[in-house]
Amino acid sequence: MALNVLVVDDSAMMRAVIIKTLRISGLPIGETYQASNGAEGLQILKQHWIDLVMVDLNMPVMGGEQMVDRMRTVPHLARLPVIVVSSESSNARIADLRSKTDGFVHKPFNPETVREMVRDITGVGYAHESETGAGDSPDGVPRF
Amino acid sequence: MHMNRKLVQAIRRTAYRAFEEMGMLLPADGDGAADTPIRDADALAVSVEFTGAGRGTMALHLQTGLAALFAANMIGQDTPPADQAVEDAARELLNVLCGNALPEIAAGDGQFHLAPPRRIDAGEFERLRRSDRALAACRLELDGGRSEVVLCSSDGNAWLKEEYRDPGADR
Repeated sequence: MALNVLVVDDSAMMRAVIIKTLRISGLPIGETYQASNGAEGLQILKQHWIDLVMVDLNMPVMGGEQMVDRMRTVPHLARLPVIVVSSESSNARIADLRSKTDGFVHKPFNPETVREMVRDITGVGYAHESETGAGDSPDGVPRF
Repeated sequence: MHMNRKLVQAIRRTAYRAFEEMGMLLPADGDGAADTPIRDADALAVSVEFTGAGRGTMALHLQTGLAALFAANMIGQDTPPADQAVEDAARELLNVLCGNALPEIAAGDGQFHLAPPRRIDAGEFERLRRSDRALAACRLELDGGRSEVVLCSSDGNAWLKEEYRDPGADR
């Protein structure tokens, strides 16, 4: 069961770092998709089957929080796991973000933090959760 | 320019941590780089504007070799990436530095919004460093070269924690 992951960050370098971190994590990562802002991210979600979204907050055009808010209004995306990857350090803001997403990774991060969070949230790598169907669209089509 | 020493130290600590965790660059031993000019013609400078609990600008200057080394380390390459990637890495470094430093030095649970970081020229960095708005400026000595960070505020220093406001802590 490989996870298809969408990484949304306006920094191409940071996207590369996150994808590399996922690839070397030992987790079953399938296709990875990239977007440089929330609007691009939503477009990719329309076109591809995604199991996990990793999103930055401050981006031009559309930020990560706005993207998540839009996703939560779409039935097929409302429960799609989202991890925020940001340098945000305000406790109040982080608490707010945690309430509307599935996890928060603070930049700078170490690979272990990302790996453990992805494992915890998606269940990949745990035998008892191998029935989640991660990576497999039921009918082979995107969620939209 | 009088600066609060604790504020300078807090920013320096955060910057070193960002360099280390993002680019695996450690503080240089001793002062071996003391003769190296801090600015060279091709050096890279970036700045980010922030609003929220306080309003201002943070800027970062990197010696050319340091910027390339940081970018290469960030993505685990042995060779320096393309110039655009080096600039992108510097912008992300500043974004992380600023995002971590501001809530730490702000009074209360300060919340900030950061604009996308942008490249600036050496002259603009120097203007920020010498500006009356500059609250802190610190130089970093790293294995790969030197860097400087400047924090400027458009709102004075009232938004800072008390310990970072005290003029008596000037060096």
